[in-house]
Amino acid sequence: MSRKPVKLQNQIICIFLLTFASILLVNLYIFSGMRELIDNMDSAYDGNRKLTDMRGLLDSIQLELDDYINTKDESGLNKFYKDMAEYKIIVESLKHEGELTEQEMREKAIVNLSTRYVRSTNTAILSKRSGDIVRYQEDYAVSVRDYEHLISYMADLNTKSFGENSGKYERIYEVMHQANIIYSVILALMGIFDILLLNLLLRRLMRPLQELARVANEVGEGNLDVAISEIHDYNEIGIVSSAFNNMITSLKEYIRQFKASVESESRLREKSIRMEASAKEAQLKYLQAQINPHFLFNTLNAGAQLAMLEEADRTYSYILRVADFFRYRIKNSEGISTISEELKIVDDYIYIINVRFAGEIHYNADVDEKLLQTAVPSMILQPIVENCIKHGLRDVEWEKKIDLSVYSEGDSTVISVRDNGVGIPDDVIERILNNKLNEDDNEKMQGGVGLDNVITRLRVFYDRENVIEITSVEKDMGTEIALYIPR
Amino acid sequence: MPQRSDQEKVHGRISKKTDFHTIRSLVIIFILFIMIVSAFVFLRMQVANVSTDEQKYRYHYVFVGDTGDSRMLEIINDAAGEYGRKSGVYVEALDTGDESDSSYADRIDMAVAMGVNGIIVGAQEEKDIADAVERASVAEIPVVTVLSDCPDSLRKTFIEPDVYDVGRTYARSIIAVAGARKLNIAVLVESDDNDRFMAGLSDTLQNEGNHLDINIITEDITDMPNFRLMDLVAEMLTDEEMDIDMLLCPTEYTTQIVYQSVMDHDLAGSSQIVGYGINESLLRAVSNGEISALVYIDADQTGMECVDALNGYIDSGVTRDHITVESIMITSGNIGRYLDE
Repeated sequence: MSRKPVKLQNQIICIFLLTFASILLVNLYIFSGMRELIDNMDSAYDGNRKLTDMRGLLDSIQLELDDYINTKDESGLNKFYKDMAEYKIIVESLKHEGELTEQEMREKAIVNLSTRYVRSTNTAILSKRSGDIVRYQEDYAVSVRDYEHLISYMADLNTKSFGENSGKYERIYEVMHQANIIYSVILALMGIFDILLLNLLLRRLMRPLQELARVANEVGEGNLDVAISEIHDYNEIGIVSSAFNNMITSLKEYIRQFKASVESESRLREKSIRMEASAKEAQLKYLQAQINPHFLFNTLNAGAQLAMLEEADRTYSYILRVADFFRYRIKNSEGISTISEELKIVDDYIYIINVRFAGEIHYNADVDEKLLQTAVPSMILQPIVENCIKHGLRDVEWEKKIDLSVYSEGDSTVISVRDNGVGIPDDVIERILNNKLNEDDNEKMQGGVGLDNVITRLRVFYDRENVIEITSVEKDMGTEIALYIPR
Repeated sequence: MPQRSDQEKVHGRISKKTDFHTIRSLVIIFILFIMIVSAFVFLRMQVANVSTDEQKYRYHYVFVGDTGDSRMLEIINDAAGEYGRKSGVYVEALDTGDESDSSYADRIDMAVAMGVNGIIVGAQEEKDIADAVERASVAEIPVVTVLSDCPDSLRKTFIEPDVYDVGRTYARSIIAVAGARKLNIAVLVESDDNDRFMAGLSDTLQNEGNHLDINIITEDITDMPNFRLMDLVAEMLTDEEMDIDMLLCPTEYTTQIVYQSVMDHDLAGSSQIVGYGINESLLRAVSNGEISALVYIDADQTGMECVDALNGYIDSGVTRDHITVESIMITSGNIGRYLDE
């Protein structure tokens, strides 16, 4: 059965109120106890004070009676009656009936003695007024005897009471001394009691929070196979704990679904890669079946030897350069080369092209020899030169020139290939630099390494975008392609 | 059965640790609570003890006597007060000694005027209290006398020591302190009731002290002046023919005189003295070995009989005319209790 949720704030307030109330109660109790002791101390001598007051009044009454008996001065009687009335009021307050305490017994005795004294004084006054000398003297003597009994008892009682009250006062004082020590101990114990109670209740209140923190920490470390086992749903911590458990469950479900999705996608991709690999393998096998490089080189070498036997030196040289050219392409198509090697393949290519096209390409290289050993991705210059010949110079009527220069500029080595061909329109330059040449352009590059491929490899190799610059001022004004190789 | 996971084990350990901590805290809190409550209860009792005595009493009796000077009367008064407290009676002392400067009769009249329920008159020497007792009787206040009687008055009861029993107690004192088998014992007699005293003494010595060879010599000291008595004691104790081994003094007054004589004549130790009464000097003498034993009326019983006699008269209207109480013996063996009191 779930309880009605209580706010955490209210629970904490209740705990503090509980401890505060306990301390307050103890203090109030201590205060009332001390108050009672102080009252006892204050009233310890009340009996003596009252007896002393009565004694004073009694002496006045007796004096006034003596005066009247001796002088028969009626004016003094007013004071006598006034004091007597006051005394009677005090006596009236001492009357008790039934079973009595020790003090009440004594007060009752005083009442009886006083009653007799009041009666005898009144009788003496009446006798005095009647003028019967013998009788008033006898009555006066009786009143004096009663007065002496009264004051004698009062004196005895006062002495006795004083002794008892002193003893009582000392006992109260001792108890008060004890009380001071005991109350200090009680307060100290109460402090410890409250600290322990506070600790216990707060610990009980905070335990779910600690459990939540522990489980959250485990979840944070990647362990989702945990849950808050003990949920007290009677405050916000319980609600958060319950929500946290729900969150873990949801998270586990989401991860399960995600894993299933990834696994499915992975299986599809693996299937696709396998198909593609199979196709490429088939294509490769097909190409290998078409061109066997060793067969080609052996053939070319055989041709070269034949040319040499027939003393056809130019043929021999041509076939040898063709063989070198293809060997380099096959060997270094994906590796790293140097500018020197790249220039060598360009020379070979120009030579082959010039044999083919009757030496119509005028090639000029201006190279800073200190830069010859600079490492560059292989097969980056020949495709550029090939591109110049194929697209820039193929249809021109004037002398066809290609100027290649290698030099330093800032922290880069610049390889510039310039032709005097038809030039490249700006939109084509834009597409070349953004690798957006269409399928037809790429098809045209088939069988060789295209400009698009060169740009991509340079950017990947040097991990920067500005590795190439293509400049073509206007139509028929030629093109310059400059490669910026970082040092 | 499936194995519990590590997490469950760790959680279990934490839970057990938490439970242990909680139980320990609860136990300490409970102990502290008990301690605090006990301290409060203890203090409450202490405060209640010093508060007014809430005991209620049915009757108010007064004890008229020279309790200031007479240790015996003081003890009887205390005993009556203690017994009265247990039976719902408040016994208040009205002192007749030098400090109060009042006579027994005056104190009895005062008690009548106080309207008390009963009066105990202890060991009075005055002869004129019969009228005062009569006035009390007119006021329907019963009066009992203790140790000394007022035979011609309207007192309801006289409580006195049993003289025969006193004689027996003396005999037992002799048996208890006897230093030899053959003894010469001198008895100083002065009252009219010698026969019963001597009977109690002789009977007990013959029965309980038949292993002793005792020769008893009596000396009548009735109306003998103090100086004469002191000389007589000195003569007896130094008379080689009499060869007194033990001297018995049947009253407190005689005992005091004899003790004084022994000290004045430097005769302490020459003979053993068995006296009567209980006052500071005699108790010190027992403590110092100068007096062998004291015989004394049982004050606790006497106080109790006083209260019972008055209670009986108030409740039923009748009581016994005479009540006797037993005697006790004080020697160096039990002197501590009386000196403390």
